[in-house]
Amino acid sequence: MEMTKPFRRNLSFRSFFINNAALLMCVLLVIYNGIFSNNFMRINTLWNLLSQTAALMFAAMGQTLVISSGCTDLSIGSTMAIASSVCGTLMRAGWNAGIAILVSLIICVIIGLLNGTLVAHLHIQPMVAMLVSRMVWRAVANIYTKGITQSIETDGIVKLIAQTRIVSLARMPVIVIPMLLVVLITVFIVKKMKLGRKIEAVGNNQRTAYLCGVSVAGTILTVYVLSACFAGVGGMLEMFRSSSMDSNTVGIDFEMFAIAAATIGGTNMRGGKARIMGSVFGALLMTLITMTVNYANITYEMANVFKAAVIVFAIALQSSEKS
Amino acid sequence: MEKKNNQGCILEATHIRKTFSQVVALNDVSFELRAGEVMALMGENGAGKSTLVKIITGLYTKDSGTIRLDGKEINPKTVLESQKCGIQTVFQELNLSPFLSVAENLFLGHEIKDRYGRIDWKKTNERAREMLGEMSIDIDVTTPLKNLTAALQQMVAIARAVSVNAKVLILDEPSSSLDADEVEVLFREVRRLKAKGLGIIYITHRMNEVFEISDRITILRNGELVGVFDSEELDMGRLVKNMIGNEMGRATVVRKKENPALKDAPVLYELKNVSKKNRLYNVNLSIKRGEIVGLAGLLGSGRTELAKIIFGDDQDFTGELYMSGEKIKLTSPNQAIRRGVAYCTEERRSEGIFALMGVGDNVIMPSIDNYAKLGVINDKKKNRVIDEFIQKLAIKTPSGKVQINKLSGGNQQKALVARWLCMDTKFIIFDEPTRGIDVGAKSEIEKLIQELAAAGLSVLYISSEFEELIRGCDRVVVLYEGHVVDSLTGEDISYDNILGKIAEGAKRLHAAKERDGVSSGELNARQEV
Repeated sequence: MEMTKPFRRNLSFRSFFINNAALLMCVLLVIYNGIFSNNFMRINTLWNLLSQTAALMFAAMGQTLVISSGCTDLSIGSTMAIASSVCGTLMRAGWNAGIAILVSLIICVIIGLLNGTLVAHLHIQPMVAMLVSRMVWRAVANIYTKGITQSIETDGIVKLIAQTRIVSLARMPVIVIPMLLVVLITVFIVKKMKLGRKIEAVGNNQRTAYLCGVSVAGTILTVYVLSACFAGVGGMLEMFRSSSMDSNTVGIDFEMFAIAAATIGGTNMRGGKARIMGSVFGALLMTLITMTVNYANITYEMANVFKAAVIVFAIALQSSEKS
Repeated sequence: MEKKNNQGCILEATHIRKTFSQVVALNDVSFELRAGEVMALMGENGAGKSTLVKIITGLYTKDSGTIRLDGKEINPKTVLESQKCGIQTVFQELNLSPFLSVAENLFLGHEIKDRYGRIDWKKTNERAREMLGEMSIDIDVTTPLKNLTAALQQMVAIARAVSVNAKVLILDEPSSSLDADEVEVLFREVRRLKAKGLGIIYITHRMNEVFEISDRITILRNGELVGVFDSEELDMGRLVKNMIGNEMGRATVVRKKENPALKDAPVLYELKNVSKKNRLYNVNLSIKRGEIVGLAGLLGSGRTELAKIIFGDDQDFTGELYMSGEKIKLTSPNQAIRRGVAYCTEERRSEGIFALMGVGDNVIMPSIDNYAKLGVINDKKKNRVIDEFIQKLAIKTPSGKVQINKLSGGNQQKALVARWLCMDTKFIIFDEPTRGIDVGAKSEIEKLIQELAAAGLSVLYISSEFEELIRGCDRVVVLYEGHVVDSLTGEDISYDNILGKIAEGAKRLHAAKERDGVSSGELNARQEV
């Protein structure tokens, strides 16, 4: 058949490597640690890895959706700060935890709508709009909390998420469950929902999407709302896990790590194709790098240097495939 | 023809050939440009005009052939090189900096400096005023370029082009964004430069202008030279014939059989007095249920503009749209789609396909609501429809999941047609549906269009291939520069008639312009369609 030729090319080692770069690098790091790091090959290491990745996973899922629609969301870290500050302050004031979480999420929806409006309706370049938004929301969070770090009481939901482990499941921490949920939800959106098709359509070509009757602005708005809500939950998880509320540092650089996770995972920065599982391994890789640096007793800051190297490598791989 | 010693010949191109991978863009094209003449370069899309110009200006390198300037062979590799030789080009998209001042634009790259290397603004502005003064243009040379009208910007571009040792000036579609009286200003300038002894190559698709401004006309078709004519020896009809071609094979195209059912068929879509500034003038058009209406016209006749208005993609127009007798207002394509109007674009790559998505997703995108409940897609139902249409239209793909950009152009086109057929479409616009696809796929698409009409769909068929229109249309509407010239039915649909009507449109428009000096709805006022 004449059709077979272009498809065989897809199976080459090179594209296999590019499509699974995140997974392969994860495997590589696990092998490395297995050999050189003491006490690495334990189930508890896995649980540590997962619970440390939980917040980033939320950010990465949101970011992957935004990127595949052809935009970027740089306000993720700041949104995490706002959500955790609001939730934490309300809880400290004696509110019911459920209601505090709900209020935070409503605020996240508003942030998402504002972000989306800047991009979709005011036609500001996503990068510029998000730099502004990133700055503003972090500042608002700091104003709201007066920049003071405060502890959160460890009972109820905080205790459940931060300290509870499911004994019957090899002592799996509860925080893994929301993390798995967000991955499942995102996969469902992309694979099964109308929205997923529209996101990729808009990311492929806004003009074509418009000519197919797709509401481009509506799709971009929805994507930013989703990203903000995911980020909000991520921020709250991070706060529960550390049982302290700190608007200065929570979620710092998370948007960058989320972009990195998506890129290494094979999601094209120009949009059009969401590779959720790639982002999942991309996010895990980010945490693995930090863990490896810890195990090797190198300065923590070196982790960012390695991450940067990995990101550059991944992007270079991607663009080499293009040409 | 004696080539050497030709009086006053400054630019001579002989046997130019250029291929892009397998496609021959120019084959054995020769022409000469004399000092002090305006030579028009004419041809339809794909004739090779812009390839030729790009070779002369150094943007492309030719495969073979020679270019001589003042008898000396030149081989420009970059635009800068050709400019140094004295060949200056003003492209359709002006290469100027909108935020810089007029004077800055004029001297960008060869600034007037004092002995410390600082720009001498006084002298710069003075010289700029002089240069524009020669063109009888009096403007403040310190205003940013973007504040000027399109016509004045064009003048600045020309002034800049001829300011440095220009021998040959190439104007690429200089009038396409100008009003009638602005064109006059342009012509005045062209004549002045001609009198100064420049050789001017003038590219345009407006045929009236050609006779007014040019001394000779070089016509290209499909990358080959048709001929070089003195403007006086050509008339509109012969010009059109030469551009489009009039081979015997084409003259014997079998016309579509008349469809008696159309007589009593109700009108589905109607345009009343549709006008768009500088593009369309009082267009009236109605399409019946099950009818195939062809739009014939040259480049710039407003065919695609019309399609975009019908589809709700362009709201910047005056006039009214009716569907099944009811007046409609479309603020986006979405609303047209909901009413059952579909548009198969001519720009398959840039506004047709979602390159990274699967064939199936490409097909169902506009009708995605039909497969979703509460936002969740019913995959079974979706895939059934996708598979059904892949089979129905014989789209060659292993499955609906394969990325669409892995398919051939013809199969991509079929998928884009399937996109509109798998939903409740009543009226479909095909804009150049057979462009860039192979012969086999072409005839399949043509056959498909007939089947659609037979099933009751209305079709608006836009094509530069007139024989396709003759073979496939119940009625052919001839457009000329935004005016409806006439509507041909039955026996009257023929190659010669279409060409004749285009020439007639050109003549009438020309006459109207002569009489009252403006381009208006004049042509249509006397025309009942």
